[in-house]
Amino acid sequence: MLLEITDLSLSFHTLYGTMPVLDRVSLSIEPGEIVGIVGESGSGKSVTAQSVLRLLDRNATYTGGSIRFKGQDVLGMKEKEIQGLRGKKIGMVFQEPMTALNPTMRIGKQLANVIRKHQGVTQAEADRLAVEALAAVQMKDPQKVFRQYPHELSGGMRQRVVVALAMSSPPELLIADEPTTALDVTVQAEVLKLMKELSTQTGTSVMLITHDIGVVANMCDRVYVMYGGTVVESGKTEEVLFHSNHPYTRALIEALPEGKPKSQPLKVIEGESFNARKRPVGCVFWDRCPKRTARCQEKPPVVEGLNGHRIACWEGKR
Amino acid sequence: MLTVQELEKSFGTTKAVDQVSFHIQKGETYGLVGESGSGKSTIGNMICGLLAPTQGVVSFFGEELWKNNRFHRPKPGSLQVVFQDPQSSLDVRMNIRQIITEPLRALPREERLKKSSDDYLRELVRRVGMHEDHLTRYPHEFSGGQRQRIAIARAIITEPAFLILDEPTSALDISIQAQILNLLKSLQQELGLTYLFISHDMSVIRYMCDRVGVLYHGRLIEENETEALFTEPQEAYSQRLLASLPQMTKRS
Amino acid sequence: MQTPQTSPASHPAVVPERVPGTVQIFWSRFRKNPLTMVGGVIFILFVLIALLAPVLTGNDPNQVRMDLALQKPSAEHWFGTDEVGRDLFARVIYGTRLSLGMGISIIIVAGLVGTILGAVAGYLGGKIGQIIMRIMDVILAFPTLILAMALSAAMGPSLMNAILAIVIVKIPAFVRLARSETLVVKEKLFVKAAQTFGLSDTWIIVRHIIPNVITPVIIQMTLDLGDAILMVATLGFLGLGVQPPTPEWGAIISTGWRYFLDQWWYPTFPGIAIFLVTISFNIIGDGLRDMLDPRSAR
Repeated sequence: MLLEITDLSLSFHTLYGTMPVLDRVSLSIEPGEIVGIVGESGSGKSVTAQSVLRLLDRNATYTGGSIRFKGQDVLGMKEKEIQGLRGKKIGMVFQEPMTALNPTMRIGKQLANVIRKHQGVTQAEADRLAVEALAAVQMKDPQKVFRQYPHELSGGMRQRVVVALAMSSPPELLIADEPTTALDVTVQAEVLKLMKELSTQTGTSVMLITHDIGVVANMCDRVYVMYGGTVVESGKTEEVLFHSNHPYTRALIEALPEGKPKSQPLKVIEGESFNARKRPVGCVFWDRCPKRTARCQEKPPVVEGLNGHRIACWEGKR
Repeated sequence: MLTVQELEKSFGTTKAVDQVSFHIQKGETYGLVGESGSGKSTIGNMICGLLAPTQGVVSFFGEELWKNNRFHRPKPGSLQVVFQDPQSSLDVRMNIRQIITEPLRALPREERLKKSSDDYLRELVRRVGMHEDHLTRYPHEFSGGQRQRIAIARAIITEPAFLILDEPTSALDISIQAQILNLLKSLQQELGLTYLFISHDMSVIRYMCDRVGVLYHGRLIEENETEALFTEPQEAYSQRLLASLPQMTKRS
Repeated sequence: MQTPQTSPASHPAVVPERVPGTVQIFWSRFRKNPLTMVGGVIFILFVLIALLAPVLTGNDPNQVRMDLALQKPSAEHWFGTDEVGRDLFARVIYGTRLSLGMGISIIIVAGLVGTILGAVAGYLGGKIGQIIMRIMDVILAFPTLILAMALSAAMGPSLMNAILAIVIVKIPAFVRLARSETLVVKEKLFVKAAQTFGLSDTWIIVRHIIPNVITPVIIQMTLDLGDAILMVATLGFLGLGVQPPTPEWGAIISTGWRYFLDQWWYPTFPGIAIFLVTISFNIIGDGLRDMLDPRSAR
């Protein structure tokens, strides 16, 4: 097991008081796997990803559970040890590429710096590897991009540079938080394909955070569906998306306009997006669930089916 | 109802919109689809008077809207816009009643009084799935989906004939998107509205529109009935656009 | 506790719960900021002193008693007396009314005019915007205090002229601030929406622009209030502002500083008053800025 998150709970301190954000989130990633975390706003998907590298603000408190990376307890690590993980063993790609790039430095120099830091090679060797890394992310003219500044590149090119930065010394885990949300669909398809290929070549595991079910369907081996800070359903992508057992996952897929007949209204999930200030006491989906019963006012059990397909729902317990 | 002829817009030397022509018939939903920089929102802005075209003609019910760089507003309230981001399209300093009734200020007095009456407003907010108690609240008390309902109420209060929907669900969660799309469809049927639906999302366009125009670098490269376009795209770019769409069904 | 509902999550028309408004958020931040609290307390104290002046002292600030000239602070005269025997405590207390009143009215007028001009210049731009901003540049080309002195000297020393002079030199900072905020608000979709409705520029400026740029202007106003009071005192000290015998801090110090070596109390107490008021506004202004700045949100 490369990454294992067990019963992770986390709270934010805000003006409104202490708000639970994650509630007993469990999640695991095997070496070489591409695992999707899909959810809407307020689902806690990004918080989960950031907690792996302890990137959260000081107003976040871990209230329970553990995060283990190759067996090491991440939450117990000293700041120094965490920094040893960041970038080196665990890479990150964010939605906005400019957060990872220095606008005043040439692309080649930024890449070479990172390569030198991680691999301890000479400057000349680092430069050579940087051009190679740019070629690996399918830049048409890596030599030219090497000499360019971030602002001279399009959004899609920048995101490729960020992928090159993260993958130049292949980490064991790549956390990609909405990596293609800011990009056009045609560019998105290319960047996703690239990430998938790099993962296959290098054996790097990918934790892909997205709101887009289509992206999960095309990219991921396994998927975790999150809602209101909990994992409501998880398992092999096919099983979760095409044979979903949790009412939320099912309703979410039904609500997609894709392939639905025009003449009929879409099936909707009633109510508003998850609001942490109005967190239900029992099942998080309680107030919007079409199938709720009196039992759902207590926290639902996690029920395991075939092939590791799990749902957190009373309905699953027959 | 709406005709756009050889519309052009240049910013400096770049042509954001280049020789675009299309027409929209009463009661239909016409989709404009394209990626960022395709000029789809620029076209919307030229139709609603926010941006003057460099060249070309926009006419609404046969009347030219732009003459000599001046916008000749059609009958007040007959052409309204719903914008993408309900976070920014509602003024947080106004309560919902003030927001919704704002367009009425451009109407003749009699109509204004009729449409700002309590009965009319109550009916209006119910129609968009809100509650009359909400009228005294402020935007920050509502979720994104509710804000978009408010923005829709504001657009239809003047009983417009034509609505420009500029990415109306792009900022919303999937589960909320479905609610808003359903609302827009049922409003169209009840009120006989005509829509210009601008979006980058192919699946939303397919579900909502009768006819679709594909924009690429400011040019309208293909236009067709929705189903025909999606099943047999003619242009290479349209094909690429459809192929790159991450689809659930594509995986097998 | 959640109460069970009969139907699954009724229609979208559910009334949302009240969420804390700006005022509540603001107050909760205010309480966590002790320094600002201190500034606020000093300010409230001065306001109370100004309002309750006749209650706080039975002495008439303008009553001349040559027999009591230049007395030390005592139980009878807390701050001593001046060279013609007027009670300095009474003069400082009544001076509070004048200083605060003048300072506040200067800032309100300058802030209001500045906001309107800035919003117009920012929203309309073009020729009108250019003209407004060039005039402001001219005013800003001079050091504020020097210009205020020159203006009030030119117009003739009087209370009204001093106020007018300070208002004029204070306006440009507000115009610039309001204009730069306007340039941001102007691009917001709610302004674009109002434009598509066919509403007038006046309506948009009054209903959308000004309410949305006023917050930073108000912070700037509190920061500038101390400075305005200081300028009033300076002009008074130089004989360009309030004329004797009106009790004004600057004017009191102006006559009092000559007695400093032998009668230290004479200029000291009005000096302390100026110091306290000025510093309390700077503290409050800084605190407000921190509280309202979303980047310092915590």
